[in-house]
Amino acid sequence: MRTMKAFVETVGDFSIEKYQHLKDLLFFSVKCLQHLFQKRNYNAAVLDVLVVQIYFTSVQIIFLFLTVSIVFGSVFMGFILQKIKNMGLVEYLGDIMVGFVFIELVPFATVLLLALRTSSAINTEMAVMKVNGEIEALQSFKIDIVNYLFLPRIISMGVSALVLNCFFAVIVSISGFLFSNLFFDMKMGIYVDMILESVTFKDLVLVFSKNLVFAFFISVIPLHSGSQASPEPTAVPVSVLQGMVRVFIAIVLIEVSSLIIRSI
Amino acid sequence: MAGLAELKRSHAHHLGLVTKELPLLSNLSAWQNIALINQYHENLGIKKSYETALDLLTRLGIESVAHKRNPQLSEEEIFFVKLIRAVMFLDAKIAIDRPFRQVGESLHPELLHQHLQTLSRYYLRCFIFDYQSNQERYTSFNL
Repeated sequence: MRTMKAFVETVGDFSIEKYQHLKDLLFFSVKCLQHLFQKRNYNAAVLDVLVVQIYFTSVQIIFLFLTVSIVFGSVFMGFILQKIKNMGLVEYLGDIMVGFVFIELVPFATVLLLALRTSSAINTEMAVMKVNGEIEALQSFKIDIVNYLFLPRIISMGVSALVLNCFFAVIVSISGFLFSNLFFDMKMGIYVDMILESVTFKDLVLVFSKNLVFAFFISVIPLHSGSQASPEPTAVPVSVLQGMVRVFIAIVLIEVSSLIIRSI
Repeated sequence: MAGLAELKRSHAHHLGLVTKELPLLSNLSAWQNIALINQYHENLGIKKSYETALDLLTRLGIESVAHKRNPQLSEEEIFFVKLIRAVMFLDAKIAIDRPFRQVGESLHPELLHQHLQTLSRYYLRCFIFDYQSNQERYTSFNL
């Protein structure tokens, strides 16, 4: 009986803690969204950080990103087209490219790379700033940390997700054409027509919004986790670990939600 | 430091604090730490805020640190960069918390006095909080 009581208490404590954290995160996300759409929050200092962040998030990653997309895109497209050939599904090539590759695979791979590189960096940076007292220093000079630290990182993540997603889609399309030409002797015009016929306006809206939702949460979660770190040096790795686990949970949840929305 | 806490409460709006607990931002250089206040509060462009920061660093004779970041600066340089950052507030009142604790015994009170006078047109009042035992170090300040 005593063990049962202890078990229920443990489960209860765990649930309350998780619920409280989720509530904090949602309030934090709403606060960031409110600041995001207020023009007066964008001053010279914020724009300066924004430019630097876009450079760190979109430009510095380009070489690594292109290499990964070429290798991964080629291997994956080779495999997919081989299967399409074996199953005799060549007339569905456009639908497969759009429905699976462009809407599901490319945003997912892009966001994974961004999360691995940038979200972890954001989480560490915020936790270190918290431990060093730099966040307190900013607040003492009446600098709103949501405007100065968070907004530029959220916006740069959005820009990066969209730009890198486009790069990845172009590379995968080129790989797709090369393998289609190899396996089916398909000409460029036919390949482009098949893809364009399968694309709808709804698909474009879905890809665009999915990328923005991904970008918002893979930046807001590490920002929240880092800025909530306790002020001891040992809190940095703990904060990064917790933040990154939450980022990957969010990615999976968004991916599943997008699949559900598409199926409706 | 009850006095400092009281000052923080009563002059919260334009109080530029110089304390060990409020470090320079480590991902910004010395001039960027100074310029940040003007850029944020007065929406000053990067060129103008750079010129202002460099001018003030030059007045204190530490313009060579302008492009260096926190870890590359000596304690004295960090202290004076923090002092300039504190006066960047419009109509600033500055509060310096135990200067000798921040810099160490190498800080010359005369140098601090001289630098405060150099920057005097940028702040309204300056409060220095220190231990009673350090009072004689401030004789040159004509308190």
